[in-house]
Amino acid sequence: MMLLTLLSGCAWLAPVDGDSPCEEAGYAIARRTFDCTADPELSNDRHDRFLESTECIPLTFDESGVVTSGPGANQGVLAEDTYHCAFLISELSCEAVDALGDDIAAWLEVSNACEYVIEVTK
Amino acid sequence: MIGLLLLAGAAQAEVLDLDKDIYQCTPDDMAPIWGSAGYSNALEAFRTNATTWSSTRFAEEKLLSHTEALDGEDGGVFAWQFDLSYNVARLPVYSKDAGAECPWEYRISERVIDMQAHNLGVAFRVGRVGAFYASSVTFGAPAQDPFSRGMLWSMGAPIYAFVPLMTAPLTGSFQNQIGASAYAQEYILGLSADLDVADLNVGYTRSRGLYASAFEKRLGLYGTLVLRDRLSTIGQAEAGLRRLTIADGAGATSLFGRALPLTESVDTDAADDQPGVIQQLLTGNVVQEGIGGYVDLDVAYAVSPEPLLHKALIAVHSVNFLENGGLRLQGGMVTLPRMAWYGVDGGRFPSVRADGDFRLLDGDADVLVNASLLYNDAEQLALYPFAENAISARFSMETVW
Repeated sequence: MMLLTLLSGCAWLAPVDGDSPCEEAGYAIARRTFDCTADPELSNDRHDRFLESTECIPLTFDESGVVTSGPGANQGVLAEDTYHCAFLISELSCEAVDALGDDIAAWLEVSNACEYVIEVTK
Repeated sequence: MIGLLLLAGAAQAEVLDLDKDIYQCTPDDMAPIWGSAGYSNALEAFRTNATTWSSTRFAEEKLLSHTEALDGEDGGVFAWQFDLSYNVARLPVYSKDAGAECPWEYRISERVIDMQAHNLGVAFRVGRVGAFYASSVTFGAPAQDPFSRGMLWSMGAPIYAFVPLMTAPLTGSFQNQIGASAYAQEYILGLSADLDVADLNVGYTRSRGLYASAFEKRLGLYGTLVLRDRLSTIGQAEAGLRRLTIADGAGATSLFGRALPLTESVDTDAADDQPGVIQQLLTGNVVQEGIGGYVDLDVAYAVSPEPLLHKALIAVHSVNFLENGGLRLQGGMVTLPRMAWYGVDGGRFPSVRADGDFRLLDGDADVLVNASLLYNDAEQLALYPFAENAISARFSMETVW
């Protein structure tokens, strides 16, 4: 019990990295691909495509939680809203996943929040 | 105990600037971020915890291992086990109250997920036949501050779990999840028989699962199968040769193949048209225990999902640890494949495990006490691939008569 108590002192809370909303969108693409196809290789490949064809726009926000970086800066977009991109991707039906295929740019059109944190470069 | 909690809190305060008063960032004020890998991982971790660390596994490890050794004599075992894992997943959360008492920089943050599994069971044999019962209570939640975390896991959880563990046959089997917290309880009832050449065990879990195992006595051939989710899913399958002694001093050799559910998707509303996807980690294992009385080797090669050396571990321990107990220290490496859908890059991880196995033998009722500390344990990482750098503590007590 003493050991458990001491281990409780390990880090339990930390601010997220600024790239988090962008990275979560990439993981969501991989996850929905895996959920719908049961194909781990395709899932990893699509994540590779995401990394190759996009750049993350680091998220910063002020004391009110309003985003202060990227295209959404100072437009009243809240920090948590930037995760709407990953959220909507993770809610896509399998028919939609099939239709989107390897077109990463098309995946990122599901939510306006994607353009606040992700820049499509290819 | 209180002093230890304060010490833990003080250590934490050195790492995180207490001026920011992050202790005001309580789980009550935060919401998990849906759609994130961390949220999906947390849900899956709870499900794996409830199913894998369920009564079947406990019954096999802590109950049937004893009754199989009775060899026609009357006897039995009563066992209890507590398993706690810290930092199993990292949950992105947002705090709507950040900026008030909680620092505004923590509006979006990561909170780690802790989980526990608690088991209680009994098994006995009268002559060649016997029965066994085991129950499990599993619980997982986002970590609170060190003080609350320490109180919950070292005191609260072990105490509250006892009642449902003992009353599981009356209260049934269920899983409940609210936000990023989950609770589950389960039990198994089974029969066992010693057919002279082999031991057979069959059990039925309240959640409509099945456990079956057979152990052949002459060579040590064995097989185990766990079906769950209304018999639709292989929860675990293992077959091979257990602890065959070929030469004096070389120790006991185990060779076996094992299938463990490496990954499993969690259904979301949008995914109702698809069943959960399960990918099995198929491994070939070679375990050599008690080389020279002091050394164990444990190597596993994964065949699926991709060929790789899954683990290579070496342990040193007290002489004849298997028979006599004592202390054991294991180290090595574990390799996992890349799994982007979990946000996992894969790769090699250092793995360390320490065990203390103490035995009070008086002939009529022997008491066995075990305590283990695990860091990047191979089995833990197979079950929770996203649990990089997770630490687990495990305690068990068995009374054998």
